Amino acid sequence: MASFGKEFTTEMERIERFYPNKQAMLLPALHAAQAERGWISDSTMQDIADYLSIPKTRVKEVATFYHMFHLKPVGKYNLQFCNNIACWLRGSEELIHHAEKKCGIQMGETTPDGNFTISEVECLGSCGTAPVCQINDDYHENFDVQALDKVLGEMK
Amino acid sequence: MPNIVVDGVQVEFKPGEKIIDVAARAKNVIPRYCYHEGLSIVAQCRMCLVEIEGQKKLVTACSTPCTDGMKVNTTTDRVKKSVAGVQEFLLANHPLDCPICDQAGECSLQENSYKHGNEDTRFDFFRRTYIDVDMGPSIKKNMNRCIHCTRCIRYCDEVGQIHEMIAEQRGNNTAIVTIDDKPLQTAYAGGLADVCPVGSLTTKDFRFKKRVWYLKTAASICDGCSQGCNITVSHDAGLIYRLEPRENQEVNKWWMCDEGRYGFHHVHSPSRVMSPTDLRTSEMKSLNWSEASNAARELLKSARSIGLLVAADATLEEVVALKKSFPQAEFFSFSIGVDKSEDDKATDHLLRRKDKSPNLRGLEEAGFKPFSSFDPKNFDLCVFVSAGKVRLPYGIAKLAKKSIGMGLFFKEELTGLNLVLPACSTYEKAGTFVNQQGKKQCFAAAVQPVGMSRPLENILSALSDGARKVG
Repeated sequence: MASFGKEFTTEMERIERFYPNKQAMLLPALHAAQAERGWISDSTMQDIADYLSIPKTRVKEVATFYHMFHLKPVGKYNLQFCNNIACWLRGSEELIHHAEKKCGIQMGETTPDGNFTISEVECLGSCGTAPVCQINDDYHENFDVQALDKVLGEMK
Repeated sequence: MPNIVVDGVQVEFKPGEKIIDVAARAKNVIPRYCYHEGLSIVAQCRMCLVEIEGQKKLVTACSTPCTDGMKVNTTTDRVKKSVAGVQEFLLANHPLDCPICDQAGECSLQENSYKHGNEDTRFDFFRRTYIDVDMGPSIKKNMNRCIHCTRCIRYCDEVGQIHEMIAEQRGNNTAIVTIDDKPLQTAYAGGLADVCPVGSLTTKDFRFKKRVWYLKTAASICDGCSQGCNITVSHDAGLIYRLEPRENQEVNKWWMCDEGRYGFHHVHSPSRVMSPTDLRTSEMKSLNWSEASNAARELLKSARSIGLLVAADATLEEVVALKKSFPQAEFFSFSIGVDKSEDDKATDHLLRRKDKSPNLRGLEEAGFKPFSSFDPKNFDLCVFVSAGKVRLPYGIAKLAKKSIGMGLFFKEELTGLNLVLPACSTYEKAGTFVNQQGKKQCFAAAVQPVGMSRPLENILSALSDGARKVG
C-alpha cells in the first residue's frame, strides 16, 4: 500500500469535522487522490478504502459512477467537450473534430507524448455560453475553432 | 384501526406500513422489482407507482406510508401508462431469450409484461451484451437480463452482511459485479437467485435442470441444522430439483443458507442402499421385505439387551414408533457438531447453527441419552437409525456385537452392519421436528420413497407383527 502525500492527509483532516462519518468523505477523498495521482487506479481505490476504513467495493461503485474520476491515466491537459444539446447545436461537434485532427487522436484517447486527452462529457451546466470545453479544471466558454487553436498553441 | 382504500377496497393498516404491503393483504399485488419485503426500500424501479386521490404526482407504493383515509388507485389510465412505460424501458435492453432462460415461468419481468406491458417493442437499436460470468460455486450471472433493481446488492449487504456486489458504471453501462470478479464470499449466495426478479442470477445447481412449470412443490423443513428453516421442495416425477426458503418470520424470515439449499443430493445418490440388504455372510445379499423382516426378527430374538443409536433427524413420530417397538431398549441420540442441544449455538449472524441435525431437542425431550454415553459393547444388539442427512460415526457398527441399520445408508458405510433396512430421508416422509427454539414444526412428504425404501413406522410395525406385511 502506497500512502498518500501530505496534501491529501491535511485536506482530509481539515474536512473530517464536516462529515458525519468517514464514508461520507469518499467524494472529497477521491478528488484529493485524483489531484495527487492524476487518475484513480485500482490500487488508489484500495488506498482510499484503507484510509477511510470502508470496503473497496464502496469506493469502486462511486469512482465508476462519476465520469469526473479518471479510471485510466489522462494527458497533462484533458479537453472535456460537452456534447449535449445546447453545445451540440452551437457547434461542439465541429470543435471535437478539429481537436481530434489537431492532436491526431480519437475521442477518448491520449496523445503518445501524454500531453492531451480528448473526452466527451455530459452537460457542464453552462448552456448559456455554449459551446463549452472544460480543460482540466477551467471552463472555456463560447468556444470556437480559433480559440481552440490558440489554447492548444499556448499549451504546447 | 386506521384504513386506506385501495381500488375501492377498504384495508386496515398498522402505522408505518407501506401501501404496497397493505394492498397485498387485499390481494392487490402491485407490480414491483426493486422492492422486497426483507430488504431495505430504495424506490428506484418506479414500477409500483400508484395514484393517490388529492395528490398531483404518482407515488411509489413501496416507500409511501399509509395515512388514514388515503384513497389509492392502481388502475387509472395514468398509472397504467406509467407502468407500461417503465416496462418498455426495462425491455429495451432485455434479451428475448425466455425460451432458454431458467427464470421463465417465475419471472417478474415476464409476468408484468403480460399484465402491464405493451405487445410490441419500439426499440430497434443494438442491445448491450455481456458474457455469462461465474460468481463463485453457487451463482452464475447473466448480465444481459439484468434490470438493475439492485436487490442483489442490498441482499449481500443486509442478509449476507458482506458488501461484495456493486453496481459498476452508470446508466446504460451499469453492470452488477463483484469487486475484481472475486467469487461471492457469503454463505447465503443461493438466495441471490431467489431475490433476483429476472433470470440474471441463477443457481448453478438448478440451472438448465427443469422447466419450473413442471415442478410440484411441498412444504418442508430443512434438515441441515437445528434452525429448522422452512423450505419449499420442488420436485417432479419422484426427483427433487431444488429447495427454496419459505417465509416464516419466527424462524428463518425469507432466507436459507447454501448448505441447506444444496443439501438434498444425498436422497438420489446412486450409492444409497435402496433395498433391504443382508450382510451376515461375506457377500452382500439383497432381500425382499418379508425376508428382511424375518432376518431382523431373528437378530432381535437372540438379543437380551438392545441399544439404539438414533441420528437426530428422526421425526417425533418415528421416535414414538421406535419407543413402542423397543420398550426395553436404551436410546441414544447422535448429532454432528454437538453432543447435547445445550452446546448448540449460532455459527453466524443469521441462521446457521452448530448442531447439524434438525431434531436433537425432540430426541432429548423423548428421553434419549447423549452419544457420549453410548458404548456399543454394552449391548447384544445395536440398532442404528439414520433417518436423514446426519451420518453416523464411520465404522461404529464394527464395535457392536450384532447390528441392524435402519434408514438411509450409503454403500460405503456398511462396514460392521449385519442387516440394513432402508427407510425414508426427510423429504420422503412427513413428520415433526423440534428446532433450536423448541418450536415444533410439521412438514409434508415431497417425493415417494426411493427404491424399496419404506417409512420407518411401517418397517417397525412389520417387525412387531409378523403377520402384517411391510409396505
